[in-house]
Amino acid sequence: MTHDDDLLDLIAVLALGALPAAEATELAAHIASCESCRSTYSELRETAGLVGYAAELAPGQLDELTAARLKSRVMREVKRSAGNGTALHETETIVPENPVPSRTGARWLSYATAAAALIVAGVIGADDAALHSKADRDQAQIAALQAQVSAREEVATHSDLQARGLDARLAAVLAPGGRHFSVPGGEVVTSGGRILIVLPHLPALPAGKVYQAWTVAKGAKALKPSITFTPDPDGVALIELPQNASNIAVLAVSVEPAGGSQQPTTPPKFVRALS
Amino acid sequence: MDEASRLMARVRERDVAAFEAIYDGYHRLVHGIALKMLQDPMAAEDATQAVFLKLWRSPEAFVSGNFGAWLSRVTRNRALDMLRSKANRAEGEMPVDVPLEGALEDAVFARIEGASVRAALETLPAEQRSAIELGFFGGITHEEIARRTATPLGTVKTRIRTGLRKLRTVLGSSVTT
Repeated sequence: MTHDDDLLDLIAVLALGALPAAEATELAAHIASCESCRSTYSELRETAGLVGYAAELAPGQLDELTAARLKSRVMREVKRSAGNGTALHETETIVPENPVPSRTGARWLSYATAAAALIVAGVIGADDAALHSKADRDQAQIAALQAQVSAREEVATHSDLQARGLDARLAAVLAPGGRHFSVPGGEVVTSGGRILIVLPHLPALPAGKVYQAWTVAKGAKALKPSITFTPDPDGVALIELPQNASNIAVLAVSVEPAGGSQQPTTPPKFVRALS
Repeated sequence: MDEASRLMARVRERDVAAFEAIYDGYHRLVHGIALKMLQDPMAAEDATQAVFLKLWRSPEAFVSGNFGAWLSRVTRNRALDMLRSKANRAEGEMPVDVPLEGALEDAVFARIEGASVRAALETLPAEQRSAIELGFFGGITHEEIARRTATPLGTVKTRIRTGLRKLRTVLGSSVTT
């Protein structure tokens, strides 16, 4: 596909990180679906990164005392982290437990659960099957507790993920090896454990409503609420979910009241098995 | 695979020695970008520390391609976050790298250093160089660049594209000849 100069100019501006967010989101949605533009963007983006070398300090330009102090600060934290086997400055936030799903939620939850079950049976294979066959009650309780902690951690990272730049989301969408799943009006992309929803033509929402993503974990039957989002004024949404793709079997999106719901209250815009 | 990529593979295995080698090899790049953007030595130190600690925490964010180019973008984003911190922006991203498709080999650009990039930028017409540097280090939009330089928006966009294209060509030839 051949593009005009104006589009190629915009891709260069995006690669430099100088495109306003609204335009960048719209262009990103196009780039995600255009092989020619992906290639152009990748090349220009790396070149733009190399511009940073223009500011590299020459050897000896930084005084030795400052350099030694700074390295000491960094290495002390890293060694402490490595010694403890823990991440740096990680925190955990407690969130409310999910209530029992409503009847509306239960209707399409059954669809999502069925999709999840198909994946578990046909794709995931031995590991998850073995998990299902475990009869040991203690093991099951431990797994349940681990799942609760995992869910809490995923929600705790929500605000960080929302704050991530478009650059990071677009990079994940474009990364080679990413898997693309078509959904009505767009696609879901999994890349390096990340889950992104690319919906370039979303209808405007009624006042007081938002879109909300839902997930079903592999081997699970429960539908869990994920993030809420709204498209930009042009109807474009490029969203990253806080969940890790390796843990998720099914993804869905519905329209919910502002603030989100603990269970779906409307029929889904789509339900997609990630397999 | 270049040396930085090999080291990062070890960092993903929580190899502190490999991380230290990365720090030694790239702290002047990170610190220099932070200093140029923040214009504050203490803030630049904080940004440098934050970038490297985040690199240790999330080494998987770097996939492949030119590590220095990727780390430059990480540092730029961190510095921009700090500049905008008065608006309570959250911490910076770790962009997942997008390897090149059909472009020069990684090893070519792995040998990039500050002097060669500065020399390459000098070969660009001043207006192209200015637009690119304002966009990268100034962290402003192309519309703001147009306003500040009293230049039509379309011209600014074309200067950025043309300049980046030429920069890539010059950098490629400067390290292969």
